[in-house]
Amino acid sequence: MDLRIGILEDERSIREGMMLLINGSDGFSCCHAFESAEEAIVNVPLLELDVVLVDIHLSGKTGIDFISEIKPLCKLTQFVMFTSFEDSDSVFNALKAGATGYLTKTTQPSKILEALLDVSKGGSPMSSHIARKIVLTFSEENNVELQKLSEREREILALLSKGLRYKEIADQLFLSPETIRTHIRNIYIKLQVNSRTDALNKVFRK
Amino acid sequence: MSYRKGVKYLILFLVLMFLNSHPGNSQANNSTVLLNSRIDSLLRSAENSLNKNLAEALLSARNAKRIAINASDTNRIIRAVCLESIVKARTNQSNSALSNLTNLETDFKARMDSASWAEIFAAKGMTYYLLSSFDSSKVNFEKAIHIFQNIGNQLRAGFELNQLARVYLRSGESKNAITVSEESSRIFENSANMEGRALSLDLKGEILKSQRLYDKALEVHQASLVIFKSIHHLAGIAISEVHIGNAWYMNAIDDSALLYYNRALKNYRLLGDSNGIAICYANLSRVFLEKNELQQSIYFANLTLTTIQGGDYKLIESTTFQQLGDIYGELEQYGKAIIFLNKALDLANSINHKTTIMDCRKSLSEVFYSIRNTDSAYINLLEAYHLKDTLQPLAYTRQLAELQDKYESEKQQVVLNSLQQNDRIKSLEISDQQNQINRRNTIIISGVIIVLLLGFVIYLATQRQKLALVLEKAAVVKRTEEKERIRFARDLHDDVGSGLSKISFLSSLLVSSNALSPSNTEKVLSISETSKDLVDNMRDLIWTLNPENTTLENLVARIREFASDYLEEFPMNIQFDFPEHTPDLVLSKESYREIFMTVKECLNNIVKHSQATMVSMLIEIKNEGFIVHIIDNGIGLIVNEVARGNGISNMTNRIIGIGGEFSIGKNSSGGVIVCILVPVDKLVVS
Repeated sequence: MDLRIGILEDERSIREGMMLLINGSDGFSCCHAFESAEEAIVNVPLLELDVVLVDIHLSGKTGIDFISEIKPLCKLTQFVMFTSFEDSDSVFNALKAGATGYLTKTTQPSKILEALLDVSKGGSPMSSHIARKIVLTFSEENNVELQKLSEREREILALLSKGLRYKEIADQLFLSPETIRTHIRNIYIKLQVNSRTDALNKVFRK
Repeated sequence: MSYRKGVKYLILFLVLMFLNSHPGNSQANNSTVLLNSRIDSLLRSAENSLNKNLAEALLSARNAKRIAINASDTNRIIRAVCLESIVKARTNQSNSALSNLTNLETDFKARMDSASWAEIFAAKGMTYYLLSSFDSSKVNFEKAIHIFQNIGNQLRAGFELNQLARVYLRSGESKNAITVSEESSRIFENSANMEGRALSLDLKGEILKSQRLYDKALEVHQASLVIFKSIHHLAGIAISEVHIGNAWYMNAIDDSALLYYNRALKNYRLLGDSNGIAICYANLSRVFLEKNELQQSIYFANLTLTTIQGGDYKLIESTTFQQLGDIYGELEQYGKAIIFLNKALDLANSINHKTTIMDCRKSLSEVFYSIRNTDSAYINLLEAYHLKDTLQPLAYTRQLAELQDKYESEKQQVVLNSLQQNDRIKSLEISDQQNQINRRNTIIISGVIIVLLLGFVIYLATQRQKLALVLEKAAVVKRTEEKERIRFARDLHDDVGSGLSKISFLSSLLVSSNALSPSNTEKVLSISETSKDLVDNMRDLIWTLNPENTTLENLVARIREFASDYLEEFPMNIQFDFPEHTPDLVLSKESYREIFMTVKECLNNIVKHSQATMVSMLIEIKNEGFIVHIIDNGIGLIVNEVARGNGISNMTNRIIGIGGEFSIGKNSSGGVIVCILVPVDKLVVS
C-alpha cells in the first residue's frame, strides 16, 4: 500500500511541486494539500494519513500551534516539519508540540522521500543542536524529569550533541542504527510528555 | 477527645449561667459585662476550632449567636454569623453561607460598627473564593482589608491580604499575587505571628509552583508544614500536605504524591472539611490516572462526587465528571463517556466556567470522532476553538477597553470644559448688553484673558505631554536597539532565506524530474547548490549573533557534524580525533565564524581538487591555544596552483584577522596538511 502523505504549506509553488514529487514516486501518494492550519485542522482528523509535512510560517495560525492542537486527535499520524532552517528555535518548539521530525527545504528530493519513509517506520532525525537543546530542557525544568530518560538515551543524547552521526554512535555503542533511531523516537515522545502544562491546569489547588 | 468534652461542659455551664442571670434586672450592667465575656469566649473557641474541628466550630458559633440574639448585641451576632458562614462555606454550603451574609447586611445596616462590616466582607470574600467567583471575592477582600487597616487591626489585615493573594493566584494574576503577598508577610514578620508566618510560606510555595519551580516550592511547603505542626494547626497541616502532594505530582513522583494526598485526606476528615476531602479524592484520582490505573482513578472520582453531590462545588463536580468521561473514553466505553461529559458540560455551563466548558467540548469531540460521528465531533471541536479564541485575548482586550475608556472620558472632559466656558462668556455678554454697557469692555477683556489663559494651560499641558512622549520614545528606542539588530538579521534570514530555500527546492525538483537536457541539468544543479550554500551561510551568520550559540563545545560539534554530512556524499573516508571534553568557553562571534568558514573552505578544496580517499581531522586544546589539523592523502598542492593560491590567501586572511596562525604544507603521504591555531585569549569575547 502507498504511504499516504499530506501537505500543509502556504506557498503554492512549493505545495504543488511537492505533490508532483510525491505522486510521481512509487510507494507514495498525496491527495491532500492544505493552504492554512485552519483548513487542515478541520480536515486532517477525518483522513487517515501516514505522514503530514508541515511548514512553520503560515499566514494564519503557525505550524507549531497546528501540531499541538491536532496531535492529540491523530495519534497514528506522524507530523514532520518542512522548514527553511533547521537550527531555529521554532523547530525545537515544534518537536515539543508533537512533531517527530523535520526536513529543510534545501534537502534533495530523493532524500525527502527517504526521510518520509524513515519517519513512517518509526525513525526520527536529530541534529547536535537539537540534542543539546533537549539535554538543556530536561535538566532545566527539573532534575527529576531528567531521570525519565534512560541511561542509554542520555548517552545517545550526549554523543549527538558532540556532533556524532547515527552510524558513528551505533559503532561506538555496539548497537544497530535501527536501535539508535528507536531510542531517539522515544526521547521525542518523552519531550512531548514533558510539557505537562495541561496537567498543571487540572490539579486542583486550594 | 478531652478537649471536645471540655468545650461541651463549658457550653453547658455558660448556658446555665445565662439562664440563671437573665431575670436579674437590678444588676443590669454587671450581667451585660458577664454576658459579653461569655459570648466572646464562645466566639474565641469557635475561631480556634476553625483550624481544628469544624463541627465544634459550628456548635460554638451557633451558641454564641443564640445568646447574642437574646441580648440583641448586633456586632456579636454578626461575628457569630460570619464564623458560622465560613464553616458552611468549607462544608459544601457556600450558597447558604452567602445568603446568610447578605441577610446580615440588610438587617443590621444601620447598627453595625466598621469592624463588623470588615468581618462580613472578609467572610463573603472567602465564600466567593470557594465558589470560584474570583472577581467578587477580590472586591470583598479588598474592602475588608481597607477597613481593618483603618481601624488599626494590622494582623487581621495581614490574614485577609494573604487570602487576597491566593485569589489573585487562582485567577492567574501572579504579579498582583506577589505584591499582595509581600505586604502580608511584612505584617506577619513585624507581629511575629506563627500562623501568619506559616501561611506566608505556604503562599510563597504556591507562587513558586505557579512559576514552575517545583523543587523550591516543595522546600518552602515543607517548612510551612513544620510550623503548622508546631502550633497544632490542623487546617494548615492539611493544606500544606495537599500542596506538597501537588509539587510531587508535578515532579512526576507519583508515589510521594499519593502518600501526601492520603495524609491530607486523613487530616481533612478529622477537621470535617468536606471541600478539602473532595479535593484530596480528586487529586488521588488524577494521580491514578497518571499511573494508568484507571479503575482506581474511577473509584476516587466517584468518591469525589459522593462527597460533594448536591452541594455548591460545581466546578470540582464538573471537572470530575469530565475526568470520568475521559477515562471511559480511554476504556472505549463511549456511551458512558458521552453521558459523563454531557453532565460535566451542563454543570460547567451553569457556572459559566469557560476553560472547563472548552475542555468538555474537546473531550466530546474526541469521543465522537472515535465512534465515527464526525458531525458531532466537528461541532464540538469548533465550539472548543471558538471558546479558546474568546478566552485567550481576554486580559488584553480588557486592558485595551480600560485604556480606551480613560482616553474617551478625558477627551469628553476637555470638550465639556470648553463648552461651559463658552456658555459662561455668552451669558455674561447678554447681561452686559441689557444693563451695564460700561462694564462691557471689562467683561470682554476678562473673557479674552480667560480664553487666553485656558489656551495657555492647554498649550502647557500638551507641551508637557509631548515632552514625556519624546522621553519615553527615546528610552524605548534605546532599549530595543539591541533587539532590533538581531530582529533585523532574523527578518532578513526569514525573508531572503525562505526565498532562497524555495529556489533551491524548486530547482532540485526540476533536476529530479529528468525533464532537462544534460547541459541544462548542470546549470539548474548549480542554481540549486548556490542557493543552498547561501542559505547555509546566512544561517551561520544569524547563528553567531546569539552568544549562547558561540561556545567552544558548539564549534567543535558543528565542525564534526558539518564534516561528516558534507563528506558523506563523496567516496572518502573520514577519521576524527576530537577531545572528549571541551572547556566551557564563549567565543567571540568573529573567531567562531572565521574558524568555521575556514574549515568549510578547506574541506571544499579537498573535495574539489585533492582526489583524496581519506581525510583525518584532529582537534586539540593546548596551552598555545585551539588547534585544528586537517590532513588528506590526495595529490598534494601541485595542481592548479594559481586558483588554489587565491583560496589559501583567503583562508590565511581569515585566521590572521582574528589573531591566529594558518599554515599549509605537504605531509608524509604526499597529501596536504592544514593547521589552524588560535590562542585562547584571541578566541574569547574581549
